[in-house]
Amino acid sequence: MRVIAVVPAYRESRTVARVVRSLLPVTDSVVVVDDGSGDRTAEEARKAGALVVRHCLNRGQGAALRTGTEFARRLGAEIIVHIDADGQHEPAGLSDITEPIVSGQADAVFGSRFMGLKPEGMPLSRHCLLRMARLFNHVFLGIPLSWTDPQSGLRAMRIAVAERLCFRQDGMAHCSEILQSVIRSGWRVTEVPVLVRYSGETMAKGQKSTDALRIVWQLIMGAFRQ
Amino acid sequence: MVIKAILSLICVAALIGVWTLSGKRRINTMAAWAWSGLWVLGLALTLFPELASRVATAVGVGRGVDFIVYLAVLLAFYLIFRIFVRLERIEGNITSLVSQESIRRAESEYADSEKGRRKK
Repeated sequence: MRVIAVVPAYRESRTVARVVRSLLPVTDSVVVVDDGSGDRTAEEARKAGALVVRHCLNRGQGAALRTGTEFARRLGAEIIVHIDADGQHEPAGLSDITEPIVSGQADAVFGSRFMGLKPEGMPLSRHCLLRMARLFNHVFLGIPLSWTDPQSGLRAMRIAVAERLCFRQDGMAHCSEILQSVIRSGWRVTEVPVLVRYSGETMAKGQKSTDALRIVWQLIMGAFRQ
Repeated sequence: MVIKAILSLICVAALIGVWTLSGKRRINTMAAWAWSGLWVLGLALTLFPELASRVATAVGVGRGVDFIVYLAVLLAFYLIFRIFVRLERIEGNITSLVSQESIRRAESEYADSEKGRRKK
């Protein structure tokens, strides 16, 4: 099956090439969506062998994923993988994500940081926040409490799922929205353990604790968007 | 009396402004009527303040001025909310345009590079 990785990138010129090179051996193509970075992210990604789509304005990770997913669909993807550009995900674990789809056991697979493989370098505050996010997702979005990691940025899905996926959030709230959309649509969906490495760089660039409030606000306002 | 005259003038000016904008098709007729209703109410309360006191007593607020302030705060919150929702919609439209344009550009770039490769 033709697997295409979609990597949303914003000011990731230092890490994007390494991520692309590590993804190329385990996928058929890598699509990097440069989300209006203004640095050398697009050039570095292209040099490393990725197909690059450039947003002329910064529209957020959710928007970049939507663009990348559509582009991958046009390239003939059969399985689409969403993965971050900061290098915190282990590309070797990509086959674990796609395997249940290839073997026909699932339509969409989400990576989980809380299924046995202990995330390296995750601060306690982030851990607590993600636990609270789990509760929020359960109460307000109906995501089962048994779902261990609703905020995971690593996921794979069959093209049929991607085509029917309904997510409109441009910012960070897309994680919850994608998961909600997939679960509500009745697709066969599962979680697999993934190893995530947090470094000083990923922590500096990644979500802040205060972003949780922004995500909640985005979800509320998004509910009123037509 | 002076304050009555000033407030009345503001309300009348606002009413004229609303219908001027409507005439220039900057706001639709529904919105023009809604805003007109608001300014006519403001004018009525300015000229007959006892009206506000009567309504306030009826709904249990006490003073007419308090009633008007409560209404104004509620209205302001509602309008802020409407602006936020509209902003969200505009942001969504901008994202759609950016996304479509970026895909179109990428497709033509890769089509050109494919052509170039075949020629070689």
